[in-house]
Amino acid sequence: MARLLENDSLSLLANEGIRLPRWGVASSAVEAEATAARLKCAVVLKALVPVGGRGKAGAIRSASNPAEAAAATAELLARHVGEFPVRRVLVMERLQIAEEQFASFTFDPAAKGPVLLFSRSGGVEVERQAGRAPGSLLRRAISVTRGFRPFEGRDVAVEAGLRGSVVPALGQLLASLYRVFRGCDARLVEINPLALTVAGELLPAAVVIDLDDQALFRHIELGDKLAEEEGTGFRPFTPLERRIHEIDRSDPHAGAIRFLEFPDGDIAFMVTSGGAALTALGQLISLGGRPANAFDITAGQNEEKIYLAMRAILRRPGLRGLIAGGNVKNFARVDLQVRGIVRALRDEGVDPRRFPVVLRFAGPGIEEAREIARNVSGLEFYEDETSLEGAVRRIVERTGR
Amino acid sequence: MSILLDSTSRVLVQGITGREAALHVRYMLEYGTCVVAGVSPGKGGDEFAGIPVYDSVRSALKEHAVDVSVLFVPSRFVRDAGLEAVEAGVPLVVILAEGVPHHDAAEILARAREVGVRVLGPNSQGMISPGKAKVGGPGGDRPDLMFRPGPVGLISRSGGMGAEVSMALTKAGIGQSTYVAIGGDLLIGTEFTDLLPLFEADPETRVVFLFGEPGTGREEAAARMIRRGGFGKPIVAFIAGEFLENLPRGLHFGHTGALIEGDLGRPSRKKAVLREAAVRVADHLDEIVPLVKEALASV
Repeated sequence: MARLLENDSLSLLANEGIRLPRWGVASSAVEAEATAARLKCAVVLKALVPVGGRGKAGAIRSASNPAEAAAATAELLARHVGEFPVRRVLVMERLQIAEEQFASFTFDPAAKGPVLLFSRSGGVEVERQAGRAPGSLLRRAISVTRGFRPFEGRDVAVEAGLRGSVVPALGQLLASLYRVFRGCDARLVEINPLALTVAGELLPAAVVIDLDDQALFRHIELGDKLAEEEGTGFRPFTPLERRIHEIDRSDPHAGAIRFLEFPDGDIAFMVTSGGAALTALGQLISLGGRPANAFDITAGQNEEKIYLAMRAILRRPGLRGLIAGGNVKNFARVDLQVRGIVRALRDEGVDPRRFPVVLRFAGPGIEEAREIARNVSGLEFYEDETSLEGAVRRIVERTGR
Repeated sequence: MSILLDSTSRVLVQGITGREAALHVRYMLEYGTCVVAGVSPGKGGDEFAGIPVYDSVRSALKEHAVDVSVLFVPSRFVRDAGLEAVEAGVPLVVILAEGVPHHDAAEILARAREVGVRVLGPNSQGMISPGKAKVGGPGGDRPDLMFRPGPVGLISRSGGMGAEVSMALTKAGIGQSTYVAIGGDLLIGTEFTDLLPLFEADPETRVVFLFGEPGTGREEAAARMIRRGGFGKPIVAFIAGEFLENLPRGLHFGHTGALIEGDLGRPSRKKAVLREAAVRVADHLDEIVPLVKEALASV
């Protein structure tokens, strides 16, 4: 997940020429008061945190004058949304809304490309409303090679039953929004609600943009904005997650790490390569084991990253064992991985005679890996004669109470 | 028989002079794969392991007929190289790289559809028709450890786990017709539903194994195809990642932004709809081989 804060998302829309409600950012009650006074209207105050569900969490407030804006901001800044502390507040013109609409661009794996979703029943719970009235959510697969043009947006408006000046307005807005989606390599651009005001204007009242982690090399500045707020998508990083993230960012070309810490686990986990990590974690949990973390790393010259990450993982207090390895490898040399792990064990002073360590490796470099493992007494080393499931069973047995 | 690839398939390698390619092209050649040419811009006229190297796909195609192009190209250069192969009309383009930007994948897939090219991947590990040929990674330097010719067709969203399951089958004396790693990314060119009809038509394939993962609706689509009667052979499946359903929403793993799909993409639901379609679904890895044996005995 790579969610931009709403002020950064609004800036991207503004850069594409999309008309927006007036807004500013405040990091104190005094600033909020000044911003509200400058806007000269009733305002909405929103906690700037990179998670959804702010309305339900009470992190969106309304104020009809600058003094109220100051008071509401002071309250918001004193709290958390989920586990994210509120450091800044978005101060935005409060709109007189006649109809709340919904528009998003995202990827649909079945369409093998982007889709536009549009509904005239925006606001919260679009998903549930669409479930009740399936026809209310319009869906358009988009040809990436042609793009999304204003006339296609007008067609959507007409099909949704809109009439008058809002038809061309929606056409322009959706075409511009698609340019934002393409331009910043977004996974998701969502406007909810898209406000049709009493005065007949179409204005985005709330914007969410999720960037594509895999395209951040093209968007260094946006990546830096993300780094200030990064978390796992529903909470900020734990200290261990932050450390692993730093290790990952230190060398972008040596494989990409995916990592997640489980607070109540006690078995350190490093079974890698997509499906194997998922499979082994599921197996471990179903056998009654409690993984302390999930870990995966993509292919590359990643021995040093594995070494550094393993050292960080092993420092967690309360661990009762370690399982590492993976499925039979086609590309990766397993001796490099085993060397990284064994170095980490040694340098962290972990003795496999007292601390259960189960490794299961198969693939290129297995003879060398076997030799490295043989020199560490107490270490259990399994190869392709033992299934991945067999190795997972073994760590559960060894750490069982 | 086999699907997509056999010993007569003529293979082009894009990025043939890179480090990974240097290793795997040798393995492919040793396995008998018919590699006819390589592409490496700026190195046209060179040779690699006796294979002529060209500056571009088009210049290679002037000299060679090609059935498959495989891209040993880093993710950030995949858009250019993938479109080059698609625009040149190579019938099957295999993209191995993980981490291809989604907008790049979408563009390659859109053009491929427009010009009628089949894309495997991105984030595919390739494919192998045991005893005949392999393209990409399957089997690494020791394909015979993991693969042998036989009656099981495999399709996997995880390249590594497809190889793992193949190895377990091989150790149990059960061979494979073709193993296809379709790729773990959100947007991929070839899905379960594209390959099932090919396995249906392949007389050597008697049973198919599917390795699924959370997210997308690929396994659900396969279940619908099977229920409609679109596939007559027995199928065994495994779906990884059911435990993710018990974690808080919004985690880094498996998020696909499927706002309106409701419970589409949940492993438990995938398993349920596959079972409704009479697919034998393994709950544990070690159940897969017994279920495949049972399925083979039923035909």
